[in-house]
Amino acid sequence: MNDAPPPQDPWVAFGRVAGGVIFYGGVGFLLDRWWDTSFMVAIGVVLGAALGIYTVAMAQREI
Amino acid sequence: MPTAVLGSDEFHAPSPASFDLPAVFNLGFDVTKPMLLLALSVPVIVLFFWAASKERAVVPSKLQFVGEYVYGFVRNGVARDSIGSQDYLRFVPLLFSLFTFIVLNNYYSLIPFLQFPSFSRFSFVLPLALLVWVVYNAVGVRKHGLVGYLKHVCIPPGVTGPVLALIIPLEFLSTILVRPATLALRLFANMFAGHLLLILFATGAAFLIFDSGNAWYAPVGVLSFILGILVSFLEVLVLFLQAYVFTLLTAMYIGGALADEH
Repeated sequence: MNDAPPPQDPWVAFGRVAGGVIFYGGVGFLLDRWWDTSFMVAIGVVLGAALGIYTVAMAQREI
Repeated sequence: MPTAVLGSDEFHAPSPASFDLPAVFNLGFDVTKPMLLLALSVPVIVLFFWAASKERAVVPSKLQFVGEYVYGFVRNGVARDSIGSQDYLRFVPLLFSLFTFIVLNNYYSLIPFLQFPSFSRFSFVLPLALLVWVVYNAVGVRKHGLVGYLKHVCIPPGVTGPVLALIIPLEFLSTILVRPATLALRLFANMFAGHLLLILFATGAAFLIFDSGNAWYAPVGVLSFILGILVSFLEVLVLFLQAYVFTLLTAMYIGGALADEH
């Protein structure tokens, strides 16, 4: 138990998905306002969640 | 407050307003019960650990044993295991204070007459989370330098190529914004929901048994009372667990900020 690598924050997965949704959802929202559309926010949220899951998977593979 | 329910014809379900307690007294600003409880926790903790460490006997008394057990739990079980045996010692005071402070303030929820978890008020949780946020970021910047730390934060392990450009803002937000928010919300929401449940079962039982004016409701009131007792036992676990989780995550964030490049 001495020098085992410190355990990973189990909430990091949630953080990544939430971070993706917040950021790309936000970008989508701004694009919607700019272009007067209403679907970019949905695309942004889905893209953000997908990128978040992708990051979690890639980081997991590394460990 | 439960008293608002007693004696009225109609049952008023507890709501977030149940947490807005009236002022106990006024010092130019209103002093409320959670404020007093929070202030009370500091002398209680100090006195307890002062008494526990006063004798420092080789064969510890019961009190000293409990004090050492709590300290050892935070030092070894939380700090050393999450930060690593090289750097953990200088964070033990912070983690130990956080743990004892939160655990006592949570257990207020079940102590008769006190019966209010201070951290069911978000304004008390937020400064703790901000403190943790400042600490783990400062520790990281100190260890890696500002640019090095930003790299450490923004570039997740295992992601390469052009997609990295899309990942960087996401990873930054997840570490800088989502972490303190979830840390604060988790503690707050657990305390809030647990206390709300207890209020609901207690006032529900009182209303159904005494105030509903219908004797057939009384057995349901008894059931509500029993459920309240059961939820109290659940709360015994949750109150400890949330203090533990808060401290553990703090240690993990510090450990993560100190970690060498992936």
